[in-house]
Amino acid sequence: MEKFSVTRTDEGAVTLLSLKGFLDAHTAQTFENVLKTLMNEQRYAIVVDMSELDYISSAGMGIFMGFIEEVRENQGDIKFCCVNPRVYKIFDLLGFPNIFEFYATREEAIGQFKNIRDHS
Amino acid sequence: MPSYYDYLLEKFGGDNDPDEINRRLLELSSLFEISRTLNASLELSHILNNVLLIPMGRLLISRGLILLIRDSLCRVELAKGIREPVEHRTFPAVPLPEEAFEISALSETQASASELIPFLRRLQLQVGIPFISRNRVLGYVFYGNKLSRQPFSEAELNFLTSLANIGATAIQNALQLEEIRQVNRELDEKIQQLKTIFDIGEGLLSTLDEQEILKILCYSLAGQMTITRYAVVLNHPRQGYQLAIHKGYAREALRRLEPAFAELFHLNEATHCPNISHPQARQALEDAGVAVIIPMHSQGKCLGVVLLGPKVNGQPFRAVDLEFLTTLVNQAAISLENARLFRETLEKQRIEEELNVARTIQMQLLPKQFPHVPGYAIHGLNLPSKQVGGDYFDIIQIAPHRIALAIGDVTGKSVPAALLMANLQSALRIMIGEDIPLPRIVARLNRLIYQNTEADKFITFFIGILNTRNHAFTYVNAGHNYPLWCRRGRLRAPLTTGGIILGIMEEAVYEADTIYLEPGDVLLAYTDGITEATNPQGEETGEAFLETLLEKHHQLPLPELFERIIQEIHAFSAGAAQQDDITLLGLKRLDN
Repeated sequence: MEKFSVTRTDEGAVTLLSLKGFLDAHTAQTFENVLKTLMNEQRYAIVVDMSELDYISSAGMGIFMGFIEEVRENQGDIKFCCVNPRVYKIFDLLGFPNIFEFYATREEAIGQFKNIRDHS
Repeated sequence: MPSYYDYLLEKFGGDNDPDEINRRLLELSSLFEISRTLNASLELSHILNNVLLIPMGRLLISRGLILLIRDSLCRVELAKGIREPVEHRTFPAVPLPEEAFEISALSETQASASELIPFLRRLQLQVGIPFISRNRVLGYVFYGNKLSRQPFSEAELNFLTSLANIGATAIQNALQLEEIRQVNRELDEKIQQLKTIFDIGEGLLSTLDEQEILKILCYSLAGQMTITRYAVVLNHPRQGYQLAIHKGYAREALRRLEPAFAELFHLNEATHCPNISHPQARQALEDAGVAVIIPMHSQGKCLGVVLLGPKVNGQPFRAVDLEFLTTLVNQAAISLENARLFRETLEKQRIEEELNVARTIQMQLLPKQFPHVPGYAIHGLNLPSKQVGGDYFDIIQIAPHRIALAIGDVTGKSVPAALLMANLQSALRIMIGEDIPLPRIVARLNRLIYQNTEADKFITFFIGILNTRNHAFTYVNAGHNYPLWCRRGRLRAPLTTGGIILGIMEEAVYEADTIYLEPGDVLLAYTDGITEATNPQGEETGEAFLETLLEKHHQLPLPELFERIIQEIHAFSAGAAQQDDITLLGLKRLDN
């Protein structure tokens, strides 16, 4: 079984990334490449579904920090949804809820990008 | 069954006012309610809300405020009915009565001791009641006027005191819980930090690539500290500073920091920018937006520094953060050092293998046996240096009475030099058998080398053909060290005729000269490894060194003469490493 995988689904202007498995120092590069591709395609409305993410390390979280400025400079955002409590605890400890928005469901998170969707 | 009302009626007697008893009952039920509510909760805000609101509702009080004492500061935790935003205001703690008191009755000395009492008076608060638990004052609750404007009766104050006492226990429990939660959170943070260190350790072990190590480090730092700006500057002993990785900082801004780097490499641990002692360095860092500087140490060496921008979550870098950063960065530094050592070992192995190949090629090019020529002695010697320098000599018997002797030195070292030498040899061996004049052979070799090599590759080359019938020696010298000619212990004019070094000019023209050898004559060709051998002071042997030796020892058989020369060179170098190949090629006409 793969240690970590990302599934990308584009819904209009919003890109949904579903993470699965372990996002740590080993797998961070894979995920960074996915985000780099999105930046190249100028897709800045990003929802990250973490329902199947079992673990995230600081290195994994560092990837988000590495892109958030570029995304927001382009009027986009990275929003998180369906984060399991164990993973959320790590986000919370490091102060991520002050920086990123967390939503209970995909629909809610995607709905936050309503304006962008209307434009497209 | 008698009711509680009957019980009170009996206890307090018939002369008591039933209203009074009713009021008492109401109070008791309030206390019961509050006790039940408070004990059901461990949330401080919930408890404080109830302690304040229940009596305000029961006694129709329009305003109230709660202060809690923490770290000898009084902090407004909750206010009701007060329009001014007062919550979270703090005052230095001041001793107040340890039982219910009227604020107006406080003495002027008490009032002037702190801003607190004027503050309470301004908010029109009337009475204060301490929260006392286990003989410690946790804080106070203050109430304003009743709507009726009637002063608080003693019974009412008793009621408020009872309530505060129940509240105090609940507050105490809640505060303890809060403290435990805080400790728990700190523990969780520590665990998270350890996990990160463990995680990065694992990640770092799996790679020996410098960029990848730095990436893993920076990802972890960015995630753990919530930073979007970072840079790693490496301190290379030879190349100087290298901006290895950076994000969020403009390259220009970092370049302006360069004068500050030397200062930063002296840091011992993660340091806040304002604590950098050097004023210019500090200013430059502040201008660039650097919050923390972390040196990368491995085995007492500073490999570089990591620069971090401020945390995005708005929190400061705490002492525990700096400790963590120091540990994490040093761990990455060890990995970097390991990676470097590994690369160096690989590189050494690669060079070693290449040199072995070069040595093998060279050895196979050199003649292993010297032809037996009546009336002459011919001898060659090659001592390759560690680097394998590209020297070459050859002895080719063209006909029973004609023998070619060649010597050359290819620029460069190792395998490329050896291959060029091999080319030269094969071309020479093909052409020398043809009936082509020597200058034309050399011109062709020159064109071949010129056309097949880079501009910076060339060969100094000397070739001569001995005719044993008439003892003529016809030679062309293409820029090679002049071979020496010795007759009866005296040097004659060296063999200089020829032309330019091979491989520089495509259309170079060469000429030949012929000398005639007498019995006892010695020709000695050599490469610059002989005349440019150095001693520990860096001085070179020079041409005169060899000339003197030849004059002195010309009578020795060639192998012994060569041995002598090598011994003298070793004596001269006094242990300094041999920099270049040493090659000698000798021809001697034997005495009749």
